[in-house]
Amino acid sequence: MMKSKLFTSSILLIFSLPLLACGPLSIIPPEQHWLFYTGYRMYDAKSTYWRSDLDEKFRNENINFWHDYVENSVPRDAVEAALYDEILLDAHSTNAFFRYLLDHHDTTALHYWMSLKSNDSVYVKQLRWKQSAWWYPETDGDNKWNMFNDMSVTESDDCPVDLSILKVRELDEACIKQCRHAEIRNRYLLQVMRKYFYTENFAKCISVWKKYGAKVPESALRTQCLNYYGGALLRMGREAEAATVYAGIGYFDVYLHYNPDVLRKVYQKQPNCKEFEFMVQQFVNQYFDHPKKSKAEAFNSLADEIVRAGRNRNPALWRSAQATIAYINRDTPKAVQLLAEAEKMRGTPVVKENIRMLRLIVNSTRTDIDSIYEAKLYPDLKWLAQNIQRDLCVRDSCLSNHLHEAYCSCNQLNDYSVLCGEDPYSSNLASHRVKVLRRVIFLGAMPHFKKIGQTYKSIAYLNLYDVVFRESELLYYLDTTSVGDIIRYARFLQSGGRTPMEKFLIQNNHKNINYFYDFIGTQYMRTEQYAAALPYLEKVSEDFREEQRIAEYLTAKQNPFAEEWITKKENQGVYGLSFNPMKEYAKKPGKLTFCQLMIRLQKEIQTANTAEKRAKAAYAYAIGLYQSSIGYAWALNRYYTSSWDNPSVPGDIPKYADKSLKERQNKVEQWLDRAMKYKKDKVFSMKCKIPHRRYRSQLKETVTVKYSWGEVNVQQFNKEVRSTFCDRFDDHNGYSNPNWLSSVWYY
Amino acid sequence: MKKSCILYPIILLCLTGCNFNTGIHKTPHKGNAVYYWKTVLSPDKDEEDFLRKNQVKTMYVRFFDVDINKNSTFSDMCAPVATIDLYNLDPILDQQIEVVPVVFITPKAIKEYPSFTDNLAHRIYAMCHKHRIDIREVQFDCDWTTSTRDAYFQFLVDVREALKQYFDTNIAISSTIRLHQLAQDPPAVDYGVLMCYNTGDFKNYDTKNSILEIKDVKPYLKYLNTYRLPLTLALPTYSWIVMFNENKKFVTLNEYDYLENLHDTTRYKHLKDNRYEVVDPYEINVAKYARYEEVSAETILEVKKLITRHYGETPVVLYHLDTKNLSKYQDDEIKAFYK
Repeated sequence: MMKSKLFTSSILLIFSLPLLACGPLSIIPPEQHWLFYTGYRMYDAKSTYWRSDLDEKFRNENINFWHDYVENSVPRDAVEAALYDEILLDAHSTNAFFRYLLDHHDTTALHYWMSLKSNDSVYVKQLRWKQSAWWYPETDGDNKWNMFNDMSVTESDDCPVDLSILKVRELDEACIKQCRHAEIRNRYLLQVMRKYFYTENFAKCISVWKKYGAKVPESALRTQCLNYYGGALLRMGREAEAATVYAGIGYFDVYLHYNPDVLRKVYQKQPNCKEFEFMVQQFVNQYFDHPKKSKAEAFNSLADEIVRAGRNRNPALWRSAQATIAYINRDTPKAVQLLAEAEKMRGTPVVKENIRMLRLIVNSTRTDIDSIYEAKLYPDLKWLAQNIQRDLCVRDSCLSNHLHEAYCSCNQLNDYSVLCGEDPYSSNLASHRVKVLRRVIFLGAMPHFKKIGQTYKSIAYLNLYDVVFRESELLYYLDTTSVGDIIRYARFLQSGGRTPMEKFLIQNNHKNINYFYDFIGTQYMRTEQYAAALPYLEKVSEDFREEQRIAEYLTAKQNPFAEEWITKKENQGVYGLSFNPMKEYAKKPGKLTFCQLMIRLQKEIQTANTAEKRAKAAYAYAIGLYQSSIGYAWALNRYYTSSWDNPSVPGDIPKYADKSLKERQNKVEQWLDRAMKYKKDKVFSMKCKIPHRRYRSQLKETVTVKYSWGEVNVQQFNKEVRSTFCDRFDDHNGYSNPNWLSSVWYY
Repeated sequence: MKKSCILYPIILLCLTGCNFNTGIHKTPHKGNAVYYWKTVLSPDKDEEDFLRKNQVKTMYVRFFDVDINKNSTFSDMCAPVATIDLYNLDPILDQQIEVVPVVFITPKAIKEYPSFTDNLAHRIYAMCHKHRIDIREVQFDCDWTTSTRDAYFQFLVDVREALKQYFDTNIAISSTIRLHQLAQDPPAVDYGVLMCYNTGDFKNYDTKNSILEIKDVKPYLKYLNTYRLPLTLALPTYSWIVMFNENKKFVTLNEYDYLENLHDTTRYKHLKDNRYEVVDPYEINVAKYARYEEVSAETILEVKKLITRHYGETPVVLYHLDTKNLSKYQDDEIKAFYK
């Protein structure tokens, strides 16, 4: 397994050398490659947040604030414990953070903490109850889903407080009003809102925000407050306002935002609501996941109305959303028409860019423009590729060398938010551009060219994706593409291209011709066409072979002509031929030598003047075939999978590999049969039968093996085989273990 | 006079000794009672008539079961399952029948009891509050054994306290007592309901009648006169069909597949006594043999007589309110069960 992974990485290095992107890759069967890219949304310009992410952000912000508040004079852990563990706050508090506040007689902070801890006991309990499996509505109006739309309370837990130490204050508006410390006042505001929310005093929750919210600076705390504010508005039936508030903080609420009626209410109140971009985006994306005809109809009618009325300054948004819905509904002509209309309308830059990306997606899957397919794609694809490359450069410039290395080793190239998180909207758009490129290449261009019999163009588009986004998808694709297509592709690369699109592709493809010669040669070898492989392998330069760094897999140690299950040295790989393939291979190991030796063996079988020579050549050929595909010299025929890998390779690869390996085993057995036919010698036949599935069981016997813990019956080669070919029998030695061959095939 | 002054408190103490330990708030129900064990509470006309005709004063209604939580949405160790839909309480409340919520707790769940006591009390309160049911008692049903006894007993103590947080009045606690549990110390509850059913192993193909056989009751009678807890008696009026596969391994219980179905020759072939062979091609892959079980009025009365002889007169609860099952018995037989 390890072997294969290292090998894969080495091969990938060829592509990645200038880019330093050489992390481990998951192995995906090529026929399933595309499935991974179908889930991406088509319209995704603004980021949404997950509650857990916001909670985490707030948690950090909160800890940092209190840590700074005590001038970092207590460990951060103590602050965290005070905030999130059930730590008692009283005169005897041992927590370093509380101790600091007590010792410094910081009554402002202590009052805040006392209020918080004591008030929590009331509504945290209520919240926990509502979020448990035990909840049962106590009244007809009591509704569970209400609670799930809001952040869970994570700031503190129920904590008994010694009331004699400090006077407990009710958490209410007075706390906010009387607090002189601005930051603590903001925290009071959050706590008061939270209390009002969970005690279902929504009107008060709204009023305190309106009164004091304006002064809260942009922060996770502000987002938390707005979340309660939005929730309270929703519960008061003020849906349009709630939808706007939620959209403003990037929180998607399926009831509010996948609801044309609510969108209409928002429009009626604010025809130019700046949150429409988020709301419409979420509507379209929700429709993508859960299409409902009635929703689409209502949305279309609203969009038509808005565009017609001319009061909204971003009509392109609404029209392009309609186009997306039409495309999701597989009505491509309508999508094309609506997009064309949208292009001519007024729209923000984000919307305009989305329209262009949508047009690219739509065109890439059109079936009515075969003759002008590439001409249609060319300007938009070029523009998109350039944008992505620019994004990557910007991102790279954000990175220190240290981070860059860590980043590359994690192979998280598409995670912009980690590194450019300061501007979530632009990083989201950058990430969306890549998703669009994937869609266009994997779901549009590649299937298109494959369908019209130009697989070499599919390869070129995939190569473009690798170059633009610094990926290494090509390797897997080439390794399972027919040799004819790779040859056509190599010719295409060398042709320079006729159209602007072809020129652009070639310009943006990895073009090391050695790489493709190696691939072509290997593909021919895999199908026993050694003579055809030879001219390509001969063209692979020595430098490239060095660069490949795969020499360690093609050494004499992994000699493809070794009968590794035979432990009596004198029998290994001698075969009694005019030349010893093992020795010849050892002189200059590698694909080229192997190919030449297999050709010599083929010739020997055809021209040998005795049956014995023919038999031995056939046997040696069978062993070469066996070891180079199923056996330990697999690297001669394969780039990323081998018989050793199969049992633990995820996904469908075992099936894929299994099929081709079984075909190869049949071939091996055909050659072994021929060898036995040529030479009717008992010992020779026995040798031929060892790797042969049909005869192997005949050579076995059951013996009882004694262990310190008991006895087990095992199958092993019989005495005759062992005395002739094997020095020892070792249950755990793969090479001499009689079960070894079956373990290859019947995992 | 002097002698009697000394003896009287001693006798009283002996008679009520257990009460001091358990803190009784409520004596066992007076009058006739019945269990309601379905998942939707909506008594039909016949069931309503049954309640009226037999002057049922107490109905033990299974509210929900408590089992290990299998729903990953929730972090709770244990969760309520099969909660009853209290669809139509009117016929019961109109007849001023006292509703006693019953909660069945699986043995696996009881091992986790500290995790759910408060939630359980809250839930009972919520259900009663929503449906405007005034309760004075809650009953718990658990097939505890020596390995789970301590956990269950502690749970009963804790839940009494937990209920106090939600209800204004003290809520009495009762518990079902299975025959095999008579050999153990009683739990700290106000009274127990002795379950005179499920006496045999229904999964065993050779069992004749797992619901009730007199021979299965007899070994436990000796514990009754010394059992330190007031008991009422629960008697079975239900029936079921136990299904086995071709290897005579238990497959399933059909609680609501009634006797008339067994007379359907396209589905079942009668072998002998209460044994049937499944011939229905749709069922044959699932089960091969069926055993129909019900308890005759004679057996019920005989068991009642035995219990009375060893324990004394005590109120009766019938298990459970279901027209089809109860229709097997004549009115006078039902009256005799209650008498």
